[in-house]
Amino acid sequence: MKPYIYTALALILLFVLNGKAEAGSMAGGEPQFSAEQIVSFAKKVEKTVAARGARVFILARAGRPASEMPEGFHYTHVAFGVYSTIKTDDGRDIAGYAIYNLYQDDKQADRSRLVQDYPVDFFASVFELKSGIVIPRPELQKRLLDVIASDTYKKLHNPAYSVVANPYNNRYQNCTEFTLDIIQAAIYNTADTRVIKANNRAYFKAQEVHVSPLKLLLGSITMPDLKTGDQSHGIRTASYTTIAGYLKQYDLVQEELLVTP
Amino acid sequence: MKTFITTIGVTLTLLTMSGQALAQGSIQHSAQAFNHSVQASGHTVIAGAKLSAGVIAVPLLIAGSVGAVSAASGNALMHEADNDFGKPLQVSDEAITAGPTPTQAIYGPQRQE
Repeated sequence: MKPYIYTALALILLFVLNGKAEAGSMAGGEPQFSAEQIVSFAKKVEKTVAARGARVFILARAGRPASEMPEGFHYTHVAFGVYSTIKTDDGRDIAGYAIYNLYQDDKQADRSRLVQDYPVDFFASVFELKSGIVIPRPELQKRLLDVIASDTYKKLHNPAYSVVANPYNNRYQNCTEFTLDIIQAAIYNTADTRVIKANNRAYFKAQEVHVSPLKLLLGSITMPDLKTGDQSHGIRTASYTTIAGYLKQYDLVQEELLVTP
Repeated sequence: MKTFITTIGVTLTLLTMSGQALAQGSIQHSAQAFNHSVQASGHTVIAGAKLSAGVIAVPLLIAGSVGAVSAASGNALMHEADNDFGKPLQVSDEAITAGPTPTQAIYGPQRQE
């Protein structure tokens, strides 16, 4: 009987401890690099893709140390960069890239919202100055622009957030699944979620998340943004790597880049 | 007692890993904190780039469906984006950041949401 009591006591104690650890990751993080480093790197990313004529590109950032990511994951957040005319607060029009994100809500972890910001904001609190970038072929860029500028972009947002959302159904969504859904909407010229999910199932190979059942159980108890009700036969989610792989498999990539300082 | 300590150790490891390994980090980074630190430093030029707040960004569309919107704010830029995809694009040397939240824009950076 004693071991059960010990285990129960340990679990209670550690749920409390884990709550604190989770809160630390929810804060959005303090900047790890100086303002000079962030601005220089963000500008380097912009100039790198601009030199290649990219109107739309997919970019990823590393918000956590690589050692803390599950096997097969190299980035923690993915979004679109769109070449734009940006009106500044003093009324000037300048050329640059705007970033179109699905961000997890920092006050309600199981919800998300769509936010448009800029490269400096995107990289403001990264743990590593690196960015994975996919520049799609021009025809796909054109179609992505059409979707991002249309009502379809907002229509495809599902605010029910799970960090390991299954891209093969629409119960939950995370940033990578939203990115994939927008890509599919562009490729198939559709705003119909059923069509998008059918094509995800047919052509997109999701990233398997290797987590022990116990760890998953404990995580789902303590993390409101970890939901597995949309999963079957293991945990699968979209990642930067699998999205890039999907586009490469179907010859839709103009160039893939890794930008570092 | 040894079992208790062992159980704590194993469970702590599992819980810590479960939280860390599964967090994807798609939370909006603290641009406000970044902006505040920049403002506090008194610098408006960072790493050789003027720092400005972006009020609105309009995609420079190729397809033309929203071309009129783009044309109103940047005819020359739109023309550039409309043509050859292989041609390098012009990018300003300024570093643009998103503004503060609407609440903070009205009530100031100290106001909590």
